[in-house]
Amino acid sequence: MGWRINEEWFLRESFFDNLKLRASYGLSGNFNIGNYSYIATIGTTNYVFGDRIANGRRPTALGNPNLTWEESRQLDVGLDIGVFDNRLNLTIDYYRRNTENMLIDIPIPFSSGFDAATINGGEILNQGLEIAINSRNLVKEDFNWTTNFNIAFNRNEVLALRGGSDFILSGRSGEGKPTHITRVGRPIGEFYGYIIEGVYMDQEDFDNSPKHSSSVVGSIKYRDVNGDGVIEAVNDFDVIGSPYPDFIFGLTNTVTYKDFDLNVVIDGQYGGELLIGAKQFLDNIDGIFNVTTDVLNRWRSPENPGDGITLTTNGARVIYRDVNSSWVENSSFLRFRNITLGYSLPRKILNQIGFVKRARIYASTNNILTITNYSGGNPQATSRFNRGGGSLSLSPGLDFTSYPLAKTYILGVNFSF
Amino acid sequence: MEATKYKINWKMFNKVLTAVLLVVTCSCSDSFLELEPETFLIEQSFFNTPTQIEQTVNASYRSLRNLTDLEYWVFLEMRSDNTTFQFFEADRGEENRGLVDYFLIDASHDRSMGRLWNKSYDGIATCDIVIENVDNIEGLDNAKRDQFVGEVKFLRALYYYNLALQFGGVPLELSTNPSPEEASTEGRASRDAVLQSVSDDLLEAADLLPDSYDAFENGRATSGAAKTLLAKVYMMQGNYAEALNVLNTITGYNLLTGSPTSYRDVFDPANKGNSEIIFDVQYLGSEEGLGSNFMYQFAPNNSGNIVTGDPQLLNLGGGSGWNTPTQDMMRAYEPDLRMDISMQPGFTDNEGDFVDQPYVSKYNFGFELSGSTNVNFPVFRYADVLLMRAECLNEQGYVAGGEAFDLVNQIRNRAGLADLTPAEAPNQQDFRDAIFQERRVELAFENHRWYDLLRLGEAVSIMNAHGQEEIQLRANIIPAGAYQVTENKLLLPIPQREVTIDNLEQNPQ
Repeated sequence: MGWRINEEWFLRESFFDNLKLRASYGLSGNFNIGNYSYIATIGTTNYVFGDRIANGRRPTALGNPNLTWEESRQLDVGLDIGVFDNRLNLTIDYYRRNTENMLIDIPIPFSSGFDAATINGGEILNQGLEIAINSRNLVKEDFNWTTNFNIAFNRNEVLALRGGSDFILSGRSGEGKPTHITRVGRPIGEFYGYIIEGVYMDQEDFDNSPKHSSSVVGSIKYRDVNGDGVIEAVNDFDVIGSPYPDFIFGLTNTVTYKDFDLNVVIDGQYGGELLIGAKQFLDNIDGIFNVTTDVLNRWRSPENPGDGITLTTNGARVIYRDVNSSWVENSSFLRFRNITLGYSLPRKILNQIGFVKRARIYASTNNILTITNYSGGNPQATSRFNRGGGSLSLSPGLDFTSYPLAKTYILGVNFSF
Repeated sequence: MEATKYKINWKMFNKVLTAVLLVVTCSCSDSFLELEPETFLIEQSFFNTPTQIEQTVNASYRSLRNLTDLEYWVFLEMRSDNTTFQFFEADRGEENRGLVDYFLIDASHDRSMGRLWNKSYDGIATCDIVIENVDNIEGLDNAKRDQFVGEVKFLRALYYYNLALQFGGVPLELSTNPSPEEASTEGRASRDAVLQSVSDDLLEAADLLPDSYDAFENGRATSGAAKTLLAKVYMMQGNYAEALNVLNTITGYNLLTGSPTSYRDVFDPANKGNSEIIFDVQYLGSEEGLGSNFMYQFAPNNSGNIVTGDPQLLNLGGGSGWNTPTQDMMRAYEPDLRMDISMQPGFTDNEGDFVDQPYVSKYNFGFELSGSTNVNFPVFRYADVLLMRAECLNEQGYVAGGEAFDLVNQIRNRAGLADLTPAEAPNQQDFRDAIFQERRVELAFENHRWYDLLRLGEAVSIMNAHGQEEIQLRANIIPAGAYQVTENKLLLPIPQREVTIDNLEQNPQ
């Protein structure tokens, strides 16, 4: 439904070339359920009898005969504005989507024989504001410059979870602990783990601090979240970060001058964090891993305490392998995604050649510069797989050794005949 | 004429169309809409034929193997005074197991303790599936049906028996979960209720199972296996009279005797299914993934391939040096013929120097593939039954030189030891101690010691005394607070994940 306000009598002579208010409301279903995920599949688990293989088979997952579609109710409101002979266009969109029966993988008690199952589990509110500006800055015969800018603010909030529980733990670290928590009133899948307070610097510090049964002087010191004087996994976990950016944006500038064209695409995000899964190896001083050079600054003795957060090689191995706040890094970035400079041969020369209608040489580069404090390969890394199995919807933002973005340089020639 | 013909054709067409529509409408049943996948097996289309239900029965043994591979010896031997582990500075990846040994394990230790819980319920769920489907199988004869039910009831009992003795009361899941919503339990049943369910299952299994199988089915649960476990449950409950009744019906087995190596022959894979074995976990070394690897896990991690003889595994590292005999264990031998077979005090390195690092050698019979041995792991054997009978007799009343002495002496004589005389064990308590001492060395490293300590009722005092010795021997590596064993520490904490998700009550620590 749209309303062209600028065509109303009261705005007919105004400086708006275009002023349009749009609104829509819809109900839709998301049937993006894996085929047959409502039924249990059968896997092979062989055994041995009489010194020969005995074929064994059993269900590998718990089916859910009640599994059904997600349902969404979405409201969109948009405003299109065009001014200065439509040289400046502004589009503002607001959406609000309520999803019920959301498909999620929840952990279930192991006493069922299985660890997770897919259910229609919750109600989620997604809402966001997206603004796009399209400006033709210069419009001359042989000199054009246009700028497109867009920015999006997206938020999600869990309104309800199935089964009366007000949180779901998801993901699985190498130690078998959850990596994410989804709570009512909060976004889906916030990072969940220990909070590092440093290392036990000396015996006095050790004696006066809460500790784990395996802690020693010089080992990692975590925050005693539940205040019981003992450091324990899950009980002393807290929210340590969130994968969701405050906003993401993109900026495209296109300049053509005579036979030259230049295109610059920049994008970025502000806020948001990633959980660096590889830290369970890269900072792991169990003795069998290649580690980062941070380990050189580890605690060695009260007189030689290193940087105060890198632990000794002895004690508390297990709890240091679990998700902790040192894995969380801000993933804000600004990236020159593409720069292309081209030169088209003038028509005069082409006419002399005859059969070539258009010829253009260009130089292009992708990802030449990324400005970020993120130490991993790509601040836009997405979870590739879930160590615990199941879907990724509840454990977003895990950078588990994802590939860095390649920088590419291209020299090219285009001919049209 | 032509027009008429045309008209009639239309009428005919309508009739045909109606008929077609009727047929189509009728055939649109649920089965038309609900297609089954063709590329993989699903629950709904499984559990139909005798072969399929047999495969599920086979699968219910699988968890037993997983638990035997990695878990049972941690909680039944390392946690006791029999064994500890070799500290390996360069790889502390399995620190959790050390914490079990030290009595420092807390609820969040999923690696070892969580697996003990998870794998047990994995097996229980498979048993439940068999029980629920076995009576709907077309063409399954009664004898097979009884055998299958007997097998899974025995296995379910074995899984629950271990859960109950390790964790106390646990959720009692005796049927499958039709959907995730019903996966939450009603909480922990009491330890008594779990053990009651165990003995119910075992009584039925003992009734349903055959005494033995054809050779190609060797390794399946027998009525003898069910009776042995049933007697253990009764003894744990202090019901020695009932236990003795059950033990007296276990027949058809005997001790391997006749040579100084008879004791070793019991475990030799060349003698699989010998007459002393009542039930053992089956392995097939020649098949990738189906072999055992106790020889590797229990070898000193600094022994290279000297102990294993496997040229492809020169560096044993952190996967080895586990379940190593304690000084206390070594002193427990008198010594006798069994000591050298069950354990070695160390090994001679390539320079010819003796390395003083005891290790379990009971399961060392070479390898089939690199890292894969053919050795089965004994669960119940007849020597155990004889000593259980002796214990039950003594608990009912000490008789100097009576039947119980005969039973113990059968075991001692095979080991090359002289008879235990009434002069050496002149009263019930002394004879009880002598029986437990005999059990300790006879059944060493076969996952009996922890439950024996519990049944003897002296786990707290024995483990504290043992801990003092360990702390003195290895003060540099044993963390503060280790071996402070209290009554509460005799039960493991419930895994934190289950406490959180299933709202289970935690054991006091």
